[in-house]
This record gives sequence, C-alpha cells and structure tokens, in this order.
Amino acid sequence: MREWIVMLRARSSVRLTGKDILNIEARPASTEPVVAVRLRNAFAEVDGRLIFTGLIAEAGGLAEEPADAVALLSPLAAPHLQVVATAANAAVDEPSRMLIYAPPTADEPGRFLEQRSVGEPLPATTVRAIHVSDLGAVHQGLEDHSDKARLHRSMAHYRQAVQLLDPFNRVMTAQHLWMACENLGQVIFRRLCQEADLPVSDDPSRMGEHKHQLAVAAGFNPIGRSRQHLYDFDAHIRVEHIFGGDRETYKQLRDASDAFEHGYADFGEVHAAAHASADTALRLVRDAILREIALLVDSPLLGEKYEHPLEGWQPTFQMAGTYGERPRRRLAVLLWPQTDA
Amino acid sequence: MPEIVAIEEVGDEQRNVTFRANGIGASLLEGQRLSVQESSFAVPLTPDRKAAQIGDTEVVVAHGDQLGDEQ
Repeated sequence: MREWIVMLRARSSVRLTGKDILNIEARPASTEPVVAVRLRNAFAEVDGRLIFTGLIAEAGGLAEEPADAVALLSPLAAPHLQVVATAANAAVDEPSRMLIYAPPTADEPGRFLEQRSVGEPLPATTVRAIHVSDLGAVHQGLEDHSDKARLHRSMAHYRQAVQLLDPFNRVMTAQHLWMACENLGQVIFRRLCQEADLPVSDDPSRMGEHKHQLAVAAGFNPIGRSRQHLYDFDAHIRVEHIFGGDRETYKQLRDASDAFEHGYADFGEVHAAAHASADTALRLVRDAILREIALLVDSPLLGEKYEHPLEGWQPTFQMAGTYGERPRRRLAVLLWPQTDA
Repeated sequence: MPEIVAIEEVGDEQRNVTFRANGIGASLLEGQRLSVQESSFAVPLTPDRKAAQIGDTEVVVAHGDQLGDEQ
C-alpha cells in the first residue's frame, strides 16, 4: 500500500476566489484509507500569464495499484463537482482529464497514469467566482445531513440540468430537474418522518406505513386498496416543499419528463412543456436543495449573484447577409425542398 | 471558422476574450458570393454579467474556388 492521489479536471464556469482551496481532511482518528479530498482551481500559463481553465477535484488515500486508487478515490473526488455547480449555480462539465499518481518514496520511484480526452474544449468564456467559505458551508450541511447520498444525487442531476442548458433547448435540462425532484422528494419525506417522530429506516414496508400515516394526516385518504393516496402525497410533497405551491410549473416539468421518458406525447409537446417550466424550476429546485441542507438564509449563495444559472455552452458565432449566385452543389435546395403545399 | 484567439484574466470574475472568425470553407453556402451584413458572437451571460467588445469586428469571407481547394 502506498499513497495515491486521483485528480479529476473539468471545464468549469465557476471558480474559487483567488487561489483558494477547499480541503476536507480525515480526522486523525479515522481508520479509513482516505487521507483528504479537495477542490481547487486549474490554471494554464498563456503568454506568461495564468488563466483559469477549470476545476480540479482530487482525493488522496492508500491503495496498491492505480486501478485500486481510482476505484477508492474517484467516487470521493467527483461529487465535489456537483456540489460546487449547485452551490454556485454554474455549469461544470464532466471531467476531461484524470491523473493518478503516487509520489516517490525512499524505496520506490513515483508512478503516474494519465488519461486525457482528445480535443479538449476551450475554457469557459464567462466565469463566476465563489468564496470557499460559502462553498464550505454547503459541504458542511451535506456532511451533517442524515440523507447525504440522496442530496448528492439531487445535486448530480442539478449539475446536469445546468450543464445541458443552451440558448435554444430546455428538454434535457427538464429531464434532469425532474430526476433531481424525485431524489429530493425522498429527502423531504424522510425529514417529514423525523419531524413526526416516525423512525426512518431502509425498510420499504415500514417507510410505506409512515407514508400512509403522513398522507392521511395531510388529508389524502385511501380509497379501497388503491395506493393512489400515496402517489398523491408524493406529488403534494414536491408541489409544496420544492415548488412552493407552484402547481402549474410542477405539472409542466413532470409532463416534460414523463412524456419524453414514456413516449406518450410528441416531441413538440415535450419541448413546449420543458421550455415553459425549466427556467422557473431551476431556481425552485436549487433553493429546495440548499434549504434541505439547512443553509443559512443569509448565505450569499441565496443572493442575487447566484440566482441565475450560468450556462457553459461554447461561444457561438452568427452572421447574416445576402447571397445571389446559384449554388453549385444545390445544398440550399436539398436542405429546403420546395413543395406544392 | 469561429475561434477564440485569446483569453486574458482580469480578475476572479472578469476576463477579456478575443474572438475571430473567417468564412473560409465554413458555410453551407460555400461556393456562393456572400454579402455579410451583420455578425456577432454569443456567449453565456446572466443579468449580473456585461460583455464588452474589444476592438472592431472584421468579417472576411473567402470562396473555396478563390483558394483553389473547393471539393
């Protein structure tokens, strides 16, 4: 066993202020083979000056071989990217580089293994900075939360929702927002159980009984042997605790997701529902995630600066004009055939 | 082909980005005589952001047959 570090580098529209680093270290008493996890800015030197190119999430720990290090450490490093994307409300791409290395010791040379994508994208043109202390509060809220894993999954979907934003399309953003809601709804249900002194467990039968109790208490009564009142209560949780009572946005987002997933509506309807709901839902879902981790209401992350998602699409060039010659290859005619209609 | 030719870091939240585009072999309308009347670059922006253009925009359109490489 020796110490390995796994570094994941991703293009990002959010950076940490200055040269700040977010460091999460194992307590001295920890017996886990993980030493530390951290997030920092990545820079490249261009003409003698540094420019921010993305974020590096890295984790260090003990492993035998590079593959063991990746299996152990990358699941600890990667979630940093979804947390910072949600906290800063800004696009963070999938990692395009992975470096695994073991520093040299007195007995062994250093070892490394690196993977890079071919044709890496350029750095984001627009960047938003987040203070490491503000980001740290989100991490602390996650660490302290009893349903940390579900919150991480909600954030993973939220990151995808922001990363997939583009000027013309909200369809995939809506899909991921809905999946974030499904995870978040379970987080909220468990919180409601705790508030009602109902013990939370992984026993589906017990949790089903709890849901029945909470549903009846909220006015959703069963009809015969139907479980519809439980589904209605699930919807109630999402509408009231995520969408703040905005039933119309909730319904449009659900329709955009369900119709696309199950294929019961045409793509035009999916597109329309996604466009009608996604921008409002982005704000509501992020607010709900941060609320569930008990972020203080005076946190700067809830302020105006972070209210709008900072998209990460590559800059687009547009030109318009006129043309007069007949096309030699008749591309325009092939693309836009004339019809009698 | 549009491209970013330079990024200069001004501060944590400000960077100067220089774009360039030319029309060589880049359009579905290649092979025709184009008259470009307007052009622009779009970047992701939110209400807290302002885009400042550095210098003048110059668009140069070249035809494939002028380069002798039209396929």
